[in-house]
Amino acid sequence: MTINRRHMLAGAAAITPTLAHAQAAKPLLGTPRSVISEPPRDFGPGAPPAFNPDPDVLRVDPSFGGLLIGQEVIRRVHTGLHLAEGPAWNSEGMFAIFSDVKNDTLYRYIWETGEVTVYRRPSFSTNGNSFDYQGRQLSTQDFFRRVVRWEADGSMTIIADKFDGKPLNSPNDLAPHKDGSIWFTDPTFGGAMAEGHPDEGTLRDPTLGNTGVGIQLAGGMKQQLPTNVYRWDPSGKLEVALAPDNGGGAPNGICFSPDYTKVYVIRGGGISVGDIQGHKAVNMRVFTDCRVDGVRCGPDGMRADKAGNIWASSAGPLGYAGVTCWNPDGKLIGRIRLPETCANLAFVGPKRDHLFMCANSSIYMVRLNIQGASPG
Amino acid sequence: MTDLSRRTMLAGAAALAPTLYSGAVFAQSNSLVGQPRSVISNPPRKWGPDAPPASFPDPDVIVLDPSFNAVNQGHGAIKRIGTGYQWAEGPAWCGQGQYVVFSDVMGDVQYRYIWDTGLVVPFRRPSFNSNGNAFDFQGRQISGQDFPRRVVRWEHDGSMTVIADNYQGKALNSPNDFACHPDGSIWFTDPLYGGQLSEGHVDQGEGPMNKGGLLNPMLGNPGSGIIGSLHQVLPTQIYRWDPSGRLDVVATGKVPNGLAFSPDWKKLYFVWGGELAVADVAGGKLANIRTFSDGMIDGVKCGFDGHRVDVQGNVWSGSTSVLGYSGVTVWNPAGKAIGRIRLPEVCANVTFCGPKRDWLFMCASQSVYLIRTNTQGAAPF
Repeated sequence: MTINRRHMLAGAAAITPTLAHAQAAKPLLGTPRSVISEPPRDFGPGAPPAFNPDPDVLRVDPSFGGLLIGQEVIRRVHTGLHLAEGPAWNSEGMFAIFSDVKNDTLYRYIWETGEVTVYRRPSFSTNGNSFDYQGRQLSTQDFFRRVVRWEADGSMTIIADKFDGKPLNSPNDLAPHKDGSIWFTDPTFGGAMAEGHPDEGTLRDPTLGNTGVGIQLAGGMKQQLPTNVYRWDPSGKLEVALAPDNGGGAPNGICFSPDYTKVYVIRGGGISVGDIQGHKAVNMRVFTDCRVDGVRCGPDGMRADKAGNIWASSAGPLGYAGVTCWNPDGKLIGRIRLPETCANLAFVGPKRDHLFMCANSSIYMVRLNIQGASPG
Repeated sequence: MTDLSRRTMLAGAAALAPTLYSGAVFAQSNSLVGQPRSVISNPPRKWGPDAPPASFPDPDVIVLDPSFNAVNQGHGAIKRIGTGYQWAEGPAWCGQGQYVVFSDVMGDVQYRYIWDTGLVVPFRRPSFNSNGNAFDFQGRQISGQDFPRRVVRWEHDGSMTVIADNYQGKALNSPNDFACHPDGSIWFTDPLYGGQLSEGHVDQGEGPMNKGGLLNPMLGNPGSGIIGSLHQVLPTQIYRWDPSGRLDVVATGKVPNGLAFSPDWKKLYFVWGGELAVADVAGGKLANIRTFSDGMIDGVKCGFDGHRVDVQGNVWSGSTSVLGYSGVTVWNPAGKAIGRIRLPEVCANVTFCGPKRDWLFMCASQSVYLIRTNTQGAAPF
């Protein structure tokens, strides 16, 4: 070791521009662990300091850089869940709620302590969550197959549990519109035993473990309706905003563009976008098929940022699981690799500039240089 | 005692039971009967994590009139849920978020008690000496910030709005406590307390809150640039803030403090020069201001600071008094004391909280206490 410290630093500086390709040959340089390195990155409490820029935040297009803070790293803030879903930020109360659909619990992440607490248990298999413009919590309860709202005084209101006299399937994700309406998707996932209750009259007994006896029939015990996207009007009227037409498939996540003139709907393994005309979504077209490098990055939930980029969850294989970010033209500009499949995400924090990612058994967070478009 | 069989002991205890609740204090001579510790026993009752199990009914919840039993929940004990503050004030329940905010005015921190965990955590630090808190009918947090001497509102998107910081161009003194009316208005009191070093900032130079101008309001000032008034110029008054932005004086002439509406919103109870006053609310004005209570119980003055009203119309007030009378006093709508709660500390303010809004949250000097009642708070905050 005849080289002194000064020489080492000079050498490192010279190497920097070619970092990515120089690693193998230069033993003076390390490679930060990532979710696909061997051994992989550790996210637990004993994890070593994370290196920045984060090796799992990938810039596919230079424009993605403007949305990032280079010093920020992905943190795992909670783990041990069954199926994390439905994150939503409460600005008034400074906490993020999220669902563990399969564990029948609604949790919340308390901002000032970083603690995750049991918020509502049972949650009746709550799935999607949001907060409306009046700060009221909106939730879909898979078990009761309905949409509910928590009022400012702490009481609960049923927003919708049937359409045309027939019970809803299992309202999944929702988005409050600035006009006071609530748009929600109604796929059939809540008919899975683990996520709600199966239809009656099948091999599976929907009454086992039913904690909602007495109100279990509110939404009906048998799925009968097509997988629609609904628009609930503040007047109480429920209308089909988008029917599952020509191979579009069952809807899942839903969000609006920052100007509220467009609606994005996850269906058919990709993301569709349509224009809002009156109470309908029209001119539906493919926004993206969510294929990255030829790999399917199946989306489940998404949110728009203030610049109109769409941040979508990805259920791709390891290396592609996590988050994909698409600009308003539907072009992939960046992605985030997580060690688990991601179902949904939300912008959180006092400045609404942290991405809160619900990924199977864990919650991950990373700070961004952009804000979420909507308050919930 | 050895010849007494267990069965006999139990029978004896059962025979005593009927007289226990009414005559426990006088039954001590029987060595089989214990006496639960209270805040005035010697040694006194213990609080905190090491405290022994508390007995029901709580020895520090005192029924002064049988009507109190209708709102008192006998199967509960006072719990101390947090301690170590300098001056606990301004509790308010957030029904949407299921937590209680309260201020440590002198500690310059706003805490919240998270309902699901029972833990108190710092919520806003600095709080700019926030004092009174409330939530309006839309669930937005209203706070009085003693340091910048203003009223603020936290919006649903997380931004903050200044509701009022002056009256007719003159800076407010230090908005203290709040009551939200269903017509959208916010009623608040504006005493001088924020003009003290410990609770805000003193006047700059000679002034009513800085005799001789010896104290320097800029020391430790975290609010340079946003500081409100540096000099108190207005009399102590009660204001009504209209959603249009208009501010009106509804009472002037004495020092106000806590305030709360009756369940039908037609009366306002407010601390007025050391007494609890009541007045009729009509057309955004106060009429017929009269004394509701002088705070005297057993000849002992139980001073008022902050209070809340239950759905039956009873007024639950913090009591600033000597040990044995400090805590909470409960007054029926006619102004008669029907019950009280003894706390080991002076209590400034209370609020109803919990998912069913049936718990009383008591901000008592260095600690916060909680007890379940058999009634609900009239207002949602």
